[in-house]
Amino acid sequence: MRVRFIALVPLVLVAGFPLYWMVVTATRRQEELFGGGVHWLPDVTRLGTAFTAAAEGAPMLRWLTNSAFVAAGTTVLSLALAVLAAYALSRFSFRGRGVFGFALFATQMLPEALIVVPLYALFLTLGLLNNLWGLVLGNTAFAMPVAVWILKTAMDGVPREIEEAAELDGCSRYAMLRRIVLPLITPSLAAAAVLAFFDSWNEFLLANTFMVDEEKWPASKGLASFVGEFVTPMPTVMSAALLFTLPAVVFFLLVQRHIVAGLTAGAVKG
Amino acid sequence: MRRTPYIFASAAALYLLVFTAWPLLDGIRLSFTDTRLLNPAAGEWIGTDNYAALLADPGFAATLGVTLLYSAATVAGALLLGTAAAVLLDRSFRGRTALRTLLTLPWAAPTVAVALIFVWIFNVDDGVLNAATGAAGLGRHGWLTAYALATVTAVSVWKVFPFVMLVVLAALQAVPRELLESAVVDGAGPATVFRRVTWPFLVPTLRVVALLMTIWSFRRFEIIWLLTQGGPVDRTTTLVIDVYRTAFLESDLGRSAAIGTVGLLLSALATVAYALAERRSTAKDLT
Amino acid sequence: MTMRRYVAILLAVALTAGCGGGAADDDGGGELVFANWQWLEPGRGEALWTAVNGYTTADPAVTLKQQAIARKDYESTLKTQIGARGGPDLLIIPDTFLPELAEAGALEPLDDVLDDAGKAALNATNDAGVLDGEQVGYAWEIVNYALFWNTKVLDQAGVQPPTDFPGLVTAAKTIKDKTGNPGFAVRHQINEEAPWWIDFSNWSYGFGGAWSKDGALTIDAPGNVAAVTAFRDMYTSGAMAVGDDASTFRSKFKAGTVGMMIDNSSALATMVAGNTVVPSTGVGASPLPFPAKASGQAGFFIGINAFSKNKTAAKKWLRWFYGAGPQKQAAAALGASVLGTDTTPPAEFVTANPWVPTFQAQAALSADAVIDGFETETPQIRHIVLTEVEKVLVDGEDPAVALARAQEAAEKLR
Repeated sequence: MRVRFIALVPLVLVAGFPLYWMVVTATRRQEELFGGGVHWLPDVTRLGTAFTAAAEGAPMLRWLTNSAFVAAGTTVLSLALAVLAAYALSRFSFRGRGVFGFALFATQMLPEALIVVPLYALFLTLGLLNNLWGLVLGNTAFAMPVAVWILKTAMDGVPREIEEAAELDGCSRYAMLRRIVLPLITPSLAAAAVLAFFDSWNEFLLANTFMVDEEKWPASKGLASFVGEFVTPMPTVMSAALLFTLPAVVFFLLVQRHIVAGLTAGAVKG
Repeated sequence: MRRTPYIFASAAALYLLVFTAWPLLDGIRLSFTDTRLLNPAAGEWIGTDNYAALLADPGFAATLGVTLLYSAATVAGALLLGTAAAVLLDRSFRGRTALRTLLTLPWAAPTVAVALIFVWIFNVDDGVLNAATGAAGLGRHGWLTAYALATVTAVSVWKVFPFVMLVVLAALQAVPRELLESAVVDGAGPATVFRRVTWPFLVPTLRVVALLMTIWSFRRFEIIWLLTQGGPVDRTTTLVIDVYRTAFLESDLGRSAAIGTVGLLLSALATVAYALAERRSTAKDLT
Repeated sequence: MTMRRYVAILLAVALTAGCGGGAADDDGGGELVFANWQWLEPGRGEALWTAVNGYTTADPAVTLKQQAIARKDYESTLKTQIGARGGPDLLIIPDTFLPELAEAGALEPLDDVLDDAGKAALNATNDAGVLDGEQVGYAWEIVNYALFWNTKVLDQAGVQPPTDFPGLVTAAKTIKDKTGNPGFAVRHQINEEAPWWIDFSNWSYGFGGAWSKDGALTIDAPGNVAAVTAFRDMYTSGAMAVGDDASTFRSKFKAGTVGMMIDNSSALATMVAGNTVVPSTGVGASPLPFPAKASGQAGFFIGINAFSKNKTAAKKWLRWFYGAGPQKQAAAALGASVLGTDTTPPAEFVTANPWVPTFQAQAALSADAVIDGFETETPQIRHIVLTEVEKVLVDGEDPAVALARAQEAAEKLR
């Protein structure tokens, strides 16, 4: 047991340190950060001040709301599409199944940078530029296939006999999916949702290229805009970074139990 | 009920067609043109000129090298660290949940925020890392200048290893406890138990994870872009960074699309290699 | 949920999204989107916006809207948007970016926008906005460069303001030794390529170099080699803030932990505004401590997007902006910059910021960083040259060899 701790503790320190350092930097005054004298502990009395400065100095709260909208939208859209597609892949053999499965997987190989220009032109035509719905649609391209992969393997693990029994009771395919299959794979749904949520909460490239109005930026782009030409106080930047990090971390803590269980269903047979 | 599967699959298929397949094909078409960013409609078909130019450019060979080096190191690092952490966590002991939670923080933290704090940690004059190494007598270093590729790789490993850890942890729970117990009863040490019992259960999972990690490494943009933008002197310029730079800084959409297509081929190659390895191991399992 | 319902939702999404675009018809009213990275500058951004937005009181049919883009992403973002035939109506254009936009036909000709009185008020800085005989941009501001320092830090280290390059390096080293903080800071990384190029032209011009002469590239000219050598000596002196981007070392100067900088007046104005640690009166400035008296400058122009759907209103705004009143307000907001008309900042600004005359005096001696005869190729040549300079800095390559390589590569562009 001691060996375990000796091996794990340094790893935990390395994993956690940058986030700890975010807190330290956010609560120190600008003058304390420069000049080489490192303060190792956060000034907890300034925690409130730091967050207020971050919330007031820039439209950070607005940006966070935008990120939440994009993340939630992407999660819902990709899960809705993925549940249906995964069910088709898991339960039916049909012409084009192979192509469809491969196409889903192939999206994982696509460098976003390659399709960002054609996508820009497409969005311009559709009026999706500078539009949070556009980001939802763009992010879904990368989040949905992963969700299909997780959900399909989970559905493969649900015995068909249950559905056959239900079919005799006159259930439609759709009702079976909703009433029988989905409840059985809740952990995998959670895992897929978390992955989609994180992907879109973090997404930067599409946001950076497509979103024009400052009030429509998601937090990833807003935060990156701090690294600019002129001076922004480091504690304010780090407080903003913390504000951006906390929701993701809290959300993760709430669902982490499900993730391991959900990935179990996906990974073992994957 | 023949139409049923199509009805279920159609929404996703339609979506992929519009938002992935079409832009992708358009991107590949661009790679055979001399299109410029400021006037995309004026691009003319130039055949394989862009590809020929890439092959003749030593800078592109260097970019390929950086991509492979970065991906190999990131995948290896993440797999090693992630598997080790998972194996260590795969027993119930006090504080296990807390440790697991702390270890997954890097994965949960948004990349942009992570990049900002790392740039500050690596700051030459006032960064905490140099304060620490300086105090320890190890000297102060330009982490993002002198060792840019190593530093960027380390940050990437830090960011993605928790994903490996979670997936492996999940896979470990599928190892039948009876097998483990009977191995212990037979007098096998922990190392032997791991090699003989646990490892075979992990291999299929690890293979899938390795493939995903490889593909994602080929594609990774944010971390590198926000830490170094590919510099200094293109030392951290991977294919994706090159795609972005060529398109948006040098305005050369045609060449950029050609680089992107090469990146796509690279991912496809990795997938084929994976499929071959899969087949061979299945064959081995059967004999 | 059925397939049909999904399609319906997707369609609804696409349709409502389309409504958000804001259809503007070209009747001289409506919303004007104005792109500028300076909107993001703390303090100065708001003052500039007030000056620009004053138009809406004169013409209530028009509303103005900011498009703020970080300086680093400025050119690439605009190229993407304009390339897709979108983008802002009005835009601030760095001089190095102007030729590329003009050649692509992205800028509306402005020759007949100002009336005779308006044209008479313009000064010579607007000549750089004429490309191929057409005025495609009017001067927004010309920003000059100088050496400046934190007086307190210099006193603390016991050094006098340097007057030549060896003196600059010695002073920087002494500051580093005595205070532990960087003695000098300047941009030096390719990830800030566009602004670094402008900064670097100070060194080139200051050591008697030039990027072209009589229509031929002179990248490997002795003056440029001397400039790169000097830059490398500073970089490797151990006294410079290596690895810091502009926003980082400017933050450090603002916090009083950097001794000296070569930077432009806008940056200095932003750093000292409302600063109690390094007040404006605690900053000294002098011309660059280089052998030649020449220095670089950054010219920023206002242009109208040729693909704007609101050009009439944009032109009306431009006509208004070059009037006496708006220029005066802009001058107050821009501080030590030179404007497109001979409007000067208020006297109290100069009194409160004693370094202002030093920068203003550079106007007569400075040149922009656009390569004469290679205007549209400047961004590509810039990339080639700065990559080679970075090799000198990071890999310790020989400046003459590196610049010769750059010369060869740049000549192939034609």
